[in-house]
Amino acid sequence: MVRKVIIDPVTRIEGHAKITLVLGDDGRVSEARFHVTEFRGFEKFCEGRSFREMPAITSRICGICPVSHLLCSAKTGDGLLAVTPPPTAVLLRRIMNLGQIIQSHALSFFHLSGPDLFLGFGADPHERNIFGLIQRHPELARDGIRLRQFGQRVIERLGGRRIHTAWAIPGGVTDPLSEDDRQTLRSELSEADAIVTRTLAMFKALLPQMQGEIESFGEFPSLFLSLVTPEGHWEHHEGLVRVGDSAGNIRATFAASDYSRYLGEAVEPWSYLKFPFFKEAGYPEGAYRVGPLARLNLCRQIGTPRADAELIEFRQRYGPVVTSSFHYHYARLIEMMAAIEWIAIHLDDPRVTGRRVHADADLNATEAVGVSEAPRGTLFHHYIVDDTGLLTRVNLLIATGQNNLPMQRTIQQIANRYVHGPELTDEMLNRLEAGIRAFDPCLSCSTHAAGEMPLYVELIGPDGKRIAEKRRGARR
Amino acid sequence: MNRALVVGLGNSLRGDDGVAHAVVQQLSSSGWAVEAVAVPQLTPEWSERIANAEVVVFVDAAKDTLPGQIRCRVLGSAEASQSGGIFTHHCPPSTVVNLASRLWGRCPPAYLVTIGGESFEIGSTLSAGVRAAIPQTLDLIRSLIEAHPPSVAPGQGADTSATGCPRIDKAPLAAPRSNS
Repeated sequence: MVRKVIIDPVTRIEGHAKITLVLGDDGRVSEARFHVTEFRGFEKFCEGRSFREMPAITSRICGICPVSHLLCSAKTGDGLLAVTPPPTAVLLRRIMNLGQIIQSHALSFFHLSGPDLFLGFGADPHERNIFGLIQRHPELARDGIRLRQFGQRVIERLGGRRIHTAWAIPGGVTDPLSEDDRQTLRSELSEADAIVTRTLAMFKALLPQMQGEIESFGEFPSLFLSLVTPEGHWEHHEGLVRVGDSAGNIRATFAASDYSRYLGEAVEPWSYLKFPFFKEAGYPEGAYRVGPLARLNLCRQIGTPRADAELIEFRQRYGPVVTSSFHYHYARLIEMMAAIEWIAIHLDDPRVTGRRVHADADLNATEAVGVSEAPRGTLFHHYIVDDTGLLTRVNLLIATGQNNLPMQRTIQQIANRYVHGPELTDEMLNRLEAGIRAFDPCLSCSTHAAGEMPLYVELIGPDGKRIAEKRRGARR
Repeated sequence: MNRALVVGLGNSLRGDDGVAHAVVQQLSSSGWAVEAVAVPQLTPEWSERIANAEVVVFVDAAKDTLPGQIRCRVLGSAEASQSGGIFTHHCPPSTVVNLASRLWGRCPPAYLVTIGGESFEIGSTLSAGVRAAIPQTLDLIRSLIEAHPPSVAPGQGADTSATGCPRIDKAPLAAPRSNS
């Protein structure tokens, strides 16, 4: 007897998806699928465009992480020009990426996952939303807005606007940072730091109440992938790609240009999202996680005092390699602290207000790979161009796509714990969605789709008839 | 505290959806004592800025009215979209006004002025009827702002209740008043 439970769409994530659960005769979940139902087509319709247009084009993949694509695309353009951007440009790009990490992590933690974390996964669904959070914890809501504002202001001060700035280009950036803007940003760091500090304290105090979620939200051994510095430290914009396992072993370290030797992409017929995997381990055993948890697991240290102290405590609590996907939330908080500390260091660097901010050159290569850490994980842009610089092939390996297999496994694990028989409870459904939200997926980026689907949960009995249904979420 | 804030909403690359940008552009060059900003969409971060204004007017294109038709609506602080996507995909003016009240303790008089659009296809040109509605829209915005005189001191004596929207005359449109 096969019964299906379908959750469609999943709420409070970027983009559109649905979850299908197939129940066996014993009422337990025999199979779980996280379907992505959007298609965008960027890799195809960018063919024929100039590589110089790609930062502006790819930044429009997403309104939440446009900076990630902007920077990665500009770095790919650096490779096609065969130039090294001036040190000031590298510093400024790094600051912008750190601002992006802060604003994206703040959105994810406070607004998308905050209702679950601070109102409870079993709270009344009518209250377990952002308005409920504002009602019960207005200071948290204000902190989230203020912290996100700070990250956005970093982006705006550098790039001239908060979303879809055209500031990063192949060779560097278009404009330097003024001394006034440097001082303004420097003065705003203290409030951002205070917000992250008190939020970390509040969250750590809540962790003992979340043991069930910690054990069931994607708690399994896996590979992890992220950038690291040549010394093996936390890196978000340059460096080498590293793959490590749950035992702490380094499985591979390579330059971004070699990604296709180590990473494969499988396709399944029931999702527009591809399934990247580590080739050495095969598909699907080569599943790996990217993003904040991976970056913390793979680095020796972050390199800033307070974030490193938090990292030490994180590992003391949960092990040298933390395997529960629930702890993406904890990792985001630590990374926001790291980002704030690193922004302070960069703003104090005398080169940061330098006026030389881009290297000029013509096309000097016809293939290049750029890599950068988006808030959600490692992002690759691979361009092949003709002799005039027009793209003949584009491959985008997106963070959320690389988390696809782990998200599938997480859904299965949560479903096995909370789904029993034909009864569909809100608490059960929200835990499934919350498990996905821990990864903070950005499905607008990671699919190449369009469209939306109504929210409908259906449970089908063995005779093919509907035995239960539930509707939730927003219709647009 | 900002005196008067005008926020234009819309995509300037989608035909008449860019009308609010054109309104903001003319406001910015008019010399009026108003802060005018055009953005593709609102986000919750706008709530604090709105809470700090003495009066706020949102301007947007509308699909559900005749091309060039101007409408004005008072936004109450009790309104809000309950959509789960308000912090990501869709944050309407009513929700941001609600957030200003809930989060920052203050909600200025707020209005939504819409202009009916004819075409929302890809392009940066306004249709003739929509462009012709801009002067009357500017007059309306001015009257809304002037209905709330500046407070004697910041935060004191400010009128925090919105007045009703003035009647929108269907007579031939007048040119914008000069600022003399």
